[in-house]
Amino acid sequence: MMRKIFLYTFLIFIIHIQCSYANDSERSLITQIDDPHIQIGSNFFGGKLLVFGSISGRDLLKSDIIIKVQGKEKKALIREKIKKYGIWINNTATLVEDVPSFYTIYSNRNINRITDTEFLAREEIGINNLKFTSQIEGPQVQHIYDVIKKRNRENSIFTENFTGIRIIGNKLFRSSVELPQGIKEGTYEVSIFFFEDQVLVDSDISNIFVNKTQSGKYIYNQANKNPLWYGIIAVIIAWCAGLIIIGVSRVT
Amino acid sequence: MYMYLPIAEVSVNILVLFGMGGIVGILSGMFGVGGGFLMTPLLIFYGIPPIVAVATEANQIVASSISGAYAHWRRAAVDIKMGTILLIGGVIGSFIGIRLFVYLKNVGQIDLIISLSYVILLGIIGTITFIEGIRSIITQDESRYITKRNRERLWIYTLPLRMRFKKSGLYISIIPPLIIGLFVGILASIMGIGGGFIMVPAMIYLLRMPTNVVIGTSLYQIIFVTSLVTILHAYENQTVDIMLALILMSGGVVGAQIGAALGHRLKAEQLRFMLGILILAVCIKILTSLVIEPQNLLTITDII
Repeated sequence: MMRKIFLYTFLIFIIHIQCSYANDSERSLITQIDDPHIQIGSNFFGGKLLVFGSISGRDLLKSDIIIKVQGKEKKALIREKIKKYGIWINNTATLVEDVPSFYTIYSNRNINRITDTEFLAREEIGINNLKFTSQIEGPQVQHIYDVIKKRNRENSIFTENFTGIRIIGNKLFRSSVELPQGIKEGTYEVSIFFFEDQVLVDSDISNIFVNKTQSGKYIYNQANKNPLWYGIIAVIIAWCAGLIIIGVSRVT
Repeated sequence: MYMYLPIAEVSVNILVLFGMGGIVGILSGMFGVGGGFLMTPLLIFYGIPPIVAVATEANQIVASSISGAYAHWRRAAVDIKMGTILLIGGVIGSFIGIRLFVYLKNVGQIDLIISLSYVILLGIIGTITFIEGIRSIITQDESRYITKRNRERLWIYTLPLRMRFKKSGLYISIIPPLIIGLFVGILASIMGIGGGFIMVPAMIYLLRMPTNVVIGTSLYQIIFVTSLVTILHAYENQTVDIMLALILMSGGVVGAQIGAALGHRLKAEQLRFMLGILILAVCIKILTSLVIEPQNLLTITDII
């Protein structure tokens, strides 16, 4: 409730600024992310990232906006399964780099109508414009890239929503970016592009942070930072559980 | 009721996992086996990464085998000396198994080896258990069969380093139990099982131990081997999910009670027959997943 009150107060504030500076020649994009800290708790089934903002001196109804949320780029090892001795086994491995851990595009209409393909390709806007790198080249590696994109689309790790931005009045835009259940911990870059007549007018970049909640993070950290102690504790817990089972069975 | 597992990094339904833990508990209560041979594949079928399933299941078996071993220990049905020899073999096997596990993980073949190991072992053990179950139902006289076999003198009895095992009434070489323990230790590391369903027949048919001490002795060895395997997996692979293990253990508490009650009502032959069917069913399910063309021919492994 408090968040909503804050949000609406902020929106009114922005409208007020817009009205005050309506005739100002300066064109500045003002954006806000409702809560840049996303917590992955024990009952996390995906979340929503509320992005909203405005640009001074422009009529949003005649403009286009693209929001890109991208996770840290990582390496992926791709193994092809082949049939050998009647069973399917992993064959060769190909290392592919620059694969974002998460990628989503939100816009008010199809991005190909918003601006030219060169710009989209350069800024890697759109799943098809994502550029991966690998040491090998040729049609086979292109097939691997396509599979990575397809698989990530299926798992909602790579998404596109061309009707995901709402224009409120002619001053404000608002978008609720879906974050999937499988989103990983880390820093994510939120880029907002503002276009008019297919030309980029302004852009803004900010970060959001996805963290595991205290208990989950603590367990994860202990498992990775103190693996020996973590293992010993896991065994002690199991011994205690075993003794509880003995206790329960003696009672019953 | 869903929950996000911090190490497996997947959201799971607690009730489903609790139910799985319950099934394992029922099995340990009914058959005197740890149930890992069934639980690890079930976890993998449910979507837990195989390497997390193996390591976490080893942790869960620690709990279920402690309670099982206690019941046998109270009846003085544990040959501590034999169990310790099996344990020494198990410790060596665990270290070898973990090294092998890490190597296979690095070359991208661990999932295949886990599945193949299950198909081979479950296939053999399931068939033997099934046939034995049917045979004992038909003959209705199991003791005569075992007594007759016990009279035969195996070559392994004549190996060096002999030791007297008063509890089992044996004077045999320690090499066979060491090797059995070692083999079980390797399997525990790679498959996330206690290995009771291998050790028990081996103790009966190879070591010729009296049937009343084999389950207790194997559980005694399993407690310590799976404890070590848990620590080694946590240390080498960071794949032990305490939250997942806790859910499975709580299910196990309930299941063990039901299993013990059911075990008293049903006849041993029926139980063995049922266990055989269960093992074969899991085996066929894994085999099918290996033989049928997978939906995705490319597997993607993220490297951070």
